[in-house]
Parts: sequence; structure tokens; C-alpha cells
Amino acid sequence: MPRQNSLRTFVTIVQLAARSTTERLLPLVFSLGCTIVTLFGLFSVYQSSIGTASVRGMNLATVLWSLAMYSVYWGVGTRYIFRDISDDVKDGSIEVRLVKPMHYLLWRVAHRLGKQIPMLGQQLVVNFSFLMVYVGAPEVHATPVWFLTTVGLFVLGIFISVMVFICVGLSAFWIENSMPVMWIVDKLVMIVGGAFVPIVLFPNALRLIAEWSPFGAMMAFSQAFTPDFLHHAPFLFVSQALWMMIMAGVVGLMWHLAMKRVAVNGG
Amino acid sequence: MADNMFVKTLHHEWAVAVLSWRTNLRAALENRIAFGLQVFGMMINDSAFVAVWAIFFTTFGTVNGWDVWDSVGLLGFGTITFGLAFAFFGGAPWINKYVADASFDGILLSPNTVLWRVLTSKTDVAALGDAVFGLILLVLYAVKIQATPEMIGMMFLAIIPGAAITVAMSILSQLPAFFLLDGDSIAMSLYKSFLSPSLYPSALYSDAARIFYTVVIPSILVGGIPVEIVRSQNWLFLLGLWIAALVWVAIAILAFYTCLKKYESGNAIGLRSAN
Repeated sequence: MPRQNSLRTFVTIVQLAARSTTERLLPLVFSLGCTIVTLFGLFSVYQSSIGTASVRGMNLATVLWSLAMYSVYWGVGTRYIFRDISDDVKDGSIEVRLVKPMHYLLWRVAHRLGKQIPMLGQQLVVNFSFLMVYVGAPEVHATPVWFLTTVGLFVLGIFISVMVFICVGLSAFWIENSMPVMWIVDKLVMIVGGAFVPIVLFPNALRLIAEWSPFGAMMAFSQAFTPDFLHHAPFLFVSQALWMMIMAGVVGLMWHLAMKRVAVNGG
Repeated sequence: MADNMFVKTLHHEWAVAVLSWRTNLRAALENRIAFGLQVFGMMINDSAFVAVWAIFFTTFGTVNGWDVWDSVGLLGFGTITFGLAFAFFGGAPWINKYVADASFDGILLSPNTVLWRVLTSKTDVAALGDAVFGLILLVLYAVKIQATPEMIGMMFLAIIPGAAITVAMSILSQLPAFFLLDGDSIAMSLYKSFLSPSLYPSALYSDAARIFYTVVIPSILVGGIPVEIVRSQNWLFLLGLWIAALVWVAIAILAFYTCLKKYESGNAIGLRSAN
């Protein structure tokens, strides 16, 4: 059977998966409530810490907008690709899915991204509305260049994130439970991605490590609200390009090795 | 006579729980590498939160009287209560699955108290990593603040209500599964609403947030308040924590049995998966 790895097939799978998620609205509503409760806590902590002052050129509004970017990243749900793949490996269903007319990894990514689109939309609306009410708009010169740079960093970051979590998922071929690997990767993203403290507030050495690590590269778009963002963006793009190439190689190698371990038993 | 029956029942329930814990632990230890990876992996996972708050307090210095060591204490309490709660009562997060796949049928037929049976039916191996990590953090915190024997006693006494509240909130977050589909994702969202704010330094919350996270969602009762109790050495504050824990446990038990009445037996044919 010829492979159908076209963009059109990919988009169709994304659409179908998105539709299946929107049919079940209740989990989305509960997730929305959870987001507000969590953000309220974190924002309250920063309100006490910064108040009306500014730290390294960032006031309360810009800090909170930067932190909210982690919620947006969470909404894309690339981290769940790990679970999808490792579950397929553990319960053996990967052998059935390998014969689909689309490459297994592409199908998995399309399916997950589609399922997450409603969640992402909700995260964007909730986060931005909550922030507008809580602290108002961030102080940025929202020029087309700024907008395109932010979107570019976001898209490339998601590519890296997808590849990192594919690798974590594929590790299930070698270790019985890849959850511990996931915990470590997930928390590295949380630390250097600026989930609790924006990267720009890191000590200089740590900021450098964060930006040149794959985990920081995923979250580079969260720096969009920092004062020197546009001057700094070329370095962030270079870091992302570097990690995209490295991760593409790692995914290719792991997939090749994993396929040697697949045992199709039929039945 | 009635007292004797009560003691006998208690003894029986306890014996079944011990048997269940022992069986669960033995099953987990069957694959020692996976067991070690989960425990060690969880400890690394938890250390991420220490790193995050270390960066935060390095940037902002002491805020509202709290520094990085108080956040170590906070995470110590948070992880040890979470660890003990789910190492011993790891069945709580499985309630929605028991409802969805009708394995409650088997539990209802068991001659034990239903909720106790559900709670002790599973052991979360990774939670043992939380408990060990929490203990390490609390020892470090005690050394750093040069804790007196009184303060160490308070630490131990603050862990138990924290663990009880964690289990109670886990039970409450599972209850929509008795009424709604998608119980799994709803339970996850509800529990996350409780867990995430418990990891933030409670002294940095505004008054409104403190009231909200105490009365509506008792997040700060498992980590932040215990640290404040130890710092202030206030026994009355500790008594208040115990009372709050008893109230939340009572609410969880009442709510569970009320919702259980809505449970409809499934007709799925299969092997019982719940212990």
C-alpha cells in the first residue's frame, strides 16, 4: 500500500481528532477552571514579590505574561505524544498501527495535535483574558516583526518539543516503564522553560544554559515579553535550528533501532 | 459486646489493609529495575521544584519573611504527605476507573468497608520516592532552622493531617465519575487545582488567595501551613490543622457514600482487575 504522508492527510487527521475532542466539552470546562485556579495562585505569589517595582526591566505584567506562555505550551500537549507512543509499545498495538497508510510517527503527532487544538484555543482565550483583567496588556511594541518572530519561535519550539517527546515515547522499546524518563524531561522543560520563573530573571550563566538546551529552545517564545527580545531573537533561532537538526537525527536513529525490535505476532 | 465487635472489625480491616499493602509492594518489587527507576525518577522529578524555588528566591531574595529554605520545608511537607497518601492509599485516584469499568462490583461484594477497600487496593510505587525525598528535605530543613525537639514533634504531627487532606481531595476529585463520562480527565483537572497551588510558597499569597486555598481548596494546608506552624511553634495552629483535616476527611467520606448510591453495576464480563 502506498504511503500517504502528504500535508493534506496530516491536516485531515488533525481535523478529525479535533472534532472528537470538541464533542466532549465537559473535560475542557473543568480544565479551564483548573487553569484559572492555578494561575491565580502563581500570579498572587508574583504580586507579593514584585508589586509595582520592576526586576531586570520587567514589571509585574510582563513577568505574568511570560509565565502564562508555559500554559500555552502545555495546551499544545506535545508532552502527551510520549504517553501515546509508550502505550502503543506496551500494549502491542503499535504493530497494528505500523501498517496504516501513514507513517506511524506522523499519524501519532497529527492525532495528538488535533486532540489538543481545542485545549490550546481554550488556554489562549483563558490565559489572555485572565491576564488582561488581572494586570492588563504587556508593555511590548507589537509590530508585525515582533509578532512573526514570536510565532516563528513558537512553531519551531513545538517541532523540537514533538521530537523530544517522540524520543521519550520510543524509549519504551528498551525500558519497561519510560515514565521516569518523562518526569525528568518534563521537569527540565518546566525549570528552564520558565514555568515558574521567567528565563530573563535567571542568573546569567543559567540563562545561557537554558537558551542553548533543547528544553529552553522549546520555550524560546516565552521571552517575547522581555525588553531585549528582538535583539536576542536571532540567537534563539540559531539554538532552535541546532536542536532541530540534532533531534531529527536522534529520532531517526531511535526509530530505526526500535523497528528492529518490533515483533509482529499476528493472531 | 458492641465495643468488642467494633474492635474486631477494626482489627479485621487493618489486617486486610496490611495484606493488601504487602501484596502490592511485593508485586512492585517483582521488577526491581522498574521499581528503582520509578522511585529514583520521582525523586529527581521532585528536585525540579526545589530548583525552581531556589532560582526564584535567588532572584527576589527574602519575600514576606520566606527564603529558599522555607520553600525546602514547603516541598518537604508537600512531597512526604503526597508520598504517604498514595503509597498507602493509592487506590483513591483509581475510583473513576473502577466506576468506568464496573470493577466496583467486586469491591462492593467484599466483606470490608468499601472506601477503605478502595483506598488500599493500590500502591503507587512512585509515591515512595516522594515520601523518601520529602523526608530528606524535612531533615535538611530541620538542620537549617536548628529545629528544637518541640519543632521536630510538630513536623511529624503536621504530616499526618496533610496526608489525610491529600487523600480526601483525591477522593473528592474522583466523584464526578459517578455522574459523568470523562471522569478520568475531569478528576485530573480537579486534583491538579488542589496540587499545583500547594507547591507555591503560601506566605507569598495575598489574603484573598490564602482564604481561597484554605477554605475552598485546602492546598496550603498540606505544605505552607505546616511550615508556618513549625516557624511559629504555635500548637493552637497545629490543632486547627488537625480539625481542618478531620472536616475534609468527613466531607470526603460523606460525599463518597452519597455518590456511591448512584453507582450502577455494569454487565461487562471479565476477570476482576481490582484487588
